[in-house]
Formats: sequence, C-alpha cells, structure tokens
Amino acid sequence: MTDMLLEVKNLKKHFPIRKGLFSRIVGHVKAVDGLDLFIKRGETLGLVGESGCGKTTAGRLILRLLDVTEGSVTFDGRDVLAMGRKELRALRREMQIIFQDPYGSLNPRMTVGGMLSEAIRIHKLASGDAVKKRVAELLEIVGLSPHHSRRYPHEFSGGQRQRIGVARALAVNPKFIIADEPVSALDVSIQAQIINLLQDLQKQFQLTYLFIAHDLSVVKHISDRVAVMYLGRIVELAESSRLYESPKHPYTRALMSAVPIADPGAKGKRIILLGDVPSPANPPSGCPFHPRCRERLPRCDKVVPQLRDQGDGHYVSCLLYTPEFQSSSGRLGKSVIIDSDDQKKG
Amino acid sequence: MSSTADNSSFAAIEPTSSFRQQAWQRFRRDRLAIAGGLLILLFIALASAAPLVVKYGTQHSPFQQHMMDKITVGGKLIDVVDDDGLPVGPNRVFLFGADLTGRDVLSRVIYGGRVSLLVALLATAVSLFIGLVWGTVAAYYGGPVDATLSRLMELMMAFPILLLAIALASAMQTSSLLVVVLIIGFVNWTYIGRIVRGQVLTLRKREFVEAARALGAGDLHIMFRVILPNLMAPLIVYTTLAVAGNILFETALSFLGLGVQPPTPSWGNMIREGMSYYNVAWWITVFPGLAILFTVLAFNLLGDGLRDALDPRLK
Repeated sequence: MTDMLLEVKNLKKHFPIRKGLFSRIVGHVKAVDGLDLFIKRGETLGLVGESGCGKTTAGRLILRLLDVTEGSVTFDGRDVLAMGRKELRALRREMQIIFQDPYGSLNPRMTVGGMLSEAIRIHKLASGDAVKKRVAELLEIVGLSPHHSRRYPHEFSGGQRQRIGVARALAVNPKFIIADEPVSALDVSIQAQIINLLQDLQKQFQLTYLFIAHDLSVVKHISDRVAVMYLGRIVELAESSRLYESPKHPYTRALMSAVPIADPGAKGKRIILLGDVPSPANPPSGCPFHPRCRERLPRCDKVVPQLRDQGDGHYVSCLLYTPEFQSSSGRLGKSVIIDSDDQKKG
Repeated sequence: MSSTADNSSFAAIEPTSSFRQQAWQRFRRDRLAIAGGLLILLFIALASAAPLVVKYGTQHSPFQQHMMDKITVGGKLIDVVDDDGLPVGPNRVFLFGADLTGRDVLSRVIYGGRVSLLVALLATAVSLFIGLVWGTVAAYYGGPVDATLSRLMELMMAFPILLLAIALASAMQTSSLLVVVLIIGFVNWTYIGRIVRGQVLTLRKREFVEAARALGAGDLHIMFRVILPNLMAPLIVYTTLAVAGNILFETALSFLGLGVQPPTPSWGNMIREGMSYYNVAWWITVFPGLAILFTVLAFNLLGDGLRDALDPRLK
C-alpha cells in the first residue's frame, strides 16, 4: 500500500511500578495497551481521548522517544522499532513533534535563532550564512518576523511560542508531524490561528499529521479521520464526519453527547457515564470499557474485542458490532439499549 | 500563505527586559554584594600585580631577611629587631611589621594572597569540572549509571574532607602547588556534583530536552549544549561560595603544614609560623588572618548577592 505512511500494530507500553528498598517491580501501568492505527499520506488523523488514556505516550512511542514494550511501528515502509542509531537519526528528519506546552518545550536559555539553527546544524541541512537565511525563512513561514531570531522564549506570548515550536518542527523538512495537543494550552482566540497555520502548512508542504487532542470540536475541524482512544486502546476509528454523525461505540456515543451544541433550542440527549476511568495499572478484564458501558453483554468482561472494519473504513472495537452478535442476537442489542434508557427514566 | 494574525501583540512585547538585565537590576541594588565584588577585584588586582606592588609600594621582597640591628631605608635608620631581639611591629617602613626572620609581613600578605587565591580558584575549577561531568552523566542516564555514580559520590561524602585531604597530602610525597590544587579540588567536588545531579534530574524531564531528542540531537549535545546553559545560575552562585570555602581549606592545610610549603608565603603558613609568638608579635598572625577574613567575607557576600539576583526563588 503506497498511500500508507504510518502503520501501528498492537503497540504496548507498560511502565513498571517500583516500590520498596530494592525498587522491586510490583506492577505495570499499561499506558498504551494494544494500539492499532494507520495514517495515510497527506491526511490528518485526530486522536482523541480523556486525559490519562495514553494519547501522549502513543505519540512518544511512535517517535521512539520512549522505548516500546511490544508491537510494531512501520513508517514509510520501514520498521521504526528495528532502527539503529544512524537510521533513527535520519528518521528524526522525517518525523517531528509539536508539544502541548509552549512554555516548557522551548529552552529558556537559547535564542529562537539558536533553537532553529540547532535543528538545521544537527542534520547538516545548511551551513554558514545559509543557516541564517533558513532561520529567517522559517520564522516567516510561521508568521513571525526574522528579527525575532535573537530573542529568548520568555519574550514571546503563548501563541507566538507555539509558532516557534511549529517552526522548529518544520526546520528539518519533515513528512509527518505529531501535534501533541498543540492548542490545549492556548487561549481560544489564539487556538484558531494556530490551527489555521497548521492547515496552511499542511497544504504548502504536503504534511501528514497525527493530531492529538481532547477537544472534540478542534479535532473535528482539522481531521480527515478521527480515532477515539480509551485506556490505551483505539475503540473507534472513522472518517471525521461519519464518526461525529453516527458514532457506533458506546464510549464514543457518550463522548459525542458531551459536545456542546451552539444552538439554545437544540435538545441534546446527554449520556452520563457512571464511575471513573479505571486505573491503567489494573485495567478491567475483557473490554476495558465494560464496567461503565450501558450496553454491556454478559461476555464483555471475558472477551477482548478487536478493532474491526464495519465497512467504508469505519472501525469499531466492540462486541455489539461483531458478526456473531449481529447475526445471532442483533435484535437483542437494540433492546439492551432501550432497557437501559428505561432504567434511567425509572 | 503564512498567517500573521497575532501581529498586534508584537508591539506589546518589545520593551521586555531580558533575564540578564533583570538580574543585573536586582544585583545593583544589593550594596553588600557590590562591596564584596569590589573587594575581590581589589584583592585580585593586588595579587596579580604583586611584583609591582612590592617593588614600588612596600619596597621589600617577601623573602629578603632584614636581620641586622639597623637598616637604612630612604636615608633613615630603622630598627628591625628590638633590644630584646624580637621582631619589630608595624612602623613607617614595615607597615604590617616584620616577622621572626625579619621579612616584611605586608609583602608576604600580598604574595600570600596571590598563592591562596590562585590555589582556591584553580581548586574550584577542578571540583567544578569533576562535579559537573559526574553529576550530569549520573542524572542524565539515570538507572544503574546513576546508582553507581551516586553511591560513589556518597561514599566520598562520608569521609571527613579535611582528614581525607590530610591523608592524601601525606600520601603524596611531594607537595607542589599543583598537588595542593588537585587535593582540594578532589575532596570538594562531591558538593557540586550533588547540586548538578539534582538540577539535571529535573531538567532532563523538561519538554525542550525531549524536543532536542526528537530533532536527533545526541546525548553529548543534549547534556552540554541543551541542559548545561540552564544550570548556569546555580553554578555561578555555588562556585563563588566554593571559592570562599576553598580559601579556608587551603589555609587550613597550609596551617597544618601540608599545603603550600615555606618559604613560599600563603596566608595559612604565615599564621602557622607566627602562631607561637602571638603574645609578643601579634602582627605576624593578625594581618594574614584579616586578609583571610575579608577575602572569605567578600566572596560570601558576592555569592549571596548573586544568588538573590540570579535565582530569586532560592531566597
């Protein structure tokens, strides 16, 4: 498949929990636990989920900023996890990241010009005066001015800093950028500017994005396809419009019902999820969502559902959408939903 | 293509002062620190120009012994040793008096300052170098590397450093200036190492370090080009304070006879030589003692001022 840029299969990251005098490992936080997704060349895949569901860890794993526990990552036909030092360095040119925190992600003791030329020099993309020219060019691309190169990060506003972060990611001419909640720390008025900037840059440089966020409306605006993550796994993945109009997974439906509608007359039916997100150190058996699911089946705590294509690239990981269930007890599925609604009324 | 929508906010940020300017503003208001800094500059100037100062100022060599009963200076006869055979106290020719062997104390204090300051500064540089590399490597790599390096560091810290220095000095048969520098530098690096490790431990988790790694920067580049500049403030402060400590340390070693060896004057060995005669010739010990006091005080005042200026949170 030539239009496939990134393919992630069964990706896992378990952080050990150490305790006691000898740092004995007493358990694992399963931050990412069997993640599957793929990104096509030139598209934007939105990755949404609650805080703590492993979105950020997933991004770091794909970039190999963290060591992977299990699974595979294929970028542009190459196995990322098998790469040696040299190949990894070359990969850094093609994959970049934009961080959430525009304050923490810029070195406070380095000028903007220093930061951008650092990137250029590491990969020997230019030398001498060409570096300066390239820095000026990058600053202009992201809507700053070349004379800002001598300034330090603290002299800029949040939005401007995020532009610097974008310029740094662009400095090495990457194909693929992971944007890790790039606008979450910004004012709403600035968010739109950064999103527009990212979209402009995508067209200009044929970029592919993995856009991580927890704000559903932001993701809907920028993404071609959206993946919903829950406790380290993808529960649903579909084209943006399809996912927002007809979410299938019970968790996605609950999420979508929480999106505010900008119409005072609209009567949204809000699904309130009961309980908290379970601890990733001790995830539920079977489907990780089953303890909070209103449509759970008796088997849900035993069977781990797989991400399955429901047609037209709408992937869902839920027993309600498995062929066995649909054929044998398709009607039952409906009645379960009605039952739970009735319970709520009563 | 590029959007310049938040152009309006560019103007607002123009007049912000940099970190350095703000630190300088804070430092300038600290009169004690300024006084300390000026005093240090004076001592360093005197020490580095010692041969000139002695030639045109005190007009005595720090080594020449004036032991005859009377000497002629500028056409005047001056007593060097009094009627009981004791050295003379401060007078117009020997401003700080003369020592037991008839040497000018002032010239020796100036030359001694040269030695003491040089040893303290070089020793601080040695401990800074070891502590910086050790602490950075330990904290950056973490895990077993950190465990090993930290335990070794703690093992060193468990020794009383003066005893360790004495043992090292006795073990080394020779005792040149370089050996003294290395000993003092070696017994003191753990304190800098510990500070550096703590700072790097928090810095390496910052996102800008991750950003550098994502750009493909190597470990050495990240440690010394990305993280190190962020350590400057605490290091400058600690180094200044460490110089004061090392002056005292050199003095202590020389006082014990293990540091700088006579006839080369250092403040420590001058006090050692004059100690037995403090009741008849106080000037032999008091002047080098005052020199130590003011130098150490000056470095401490400067260090405190720099700490307040560079890292207001530490206060």
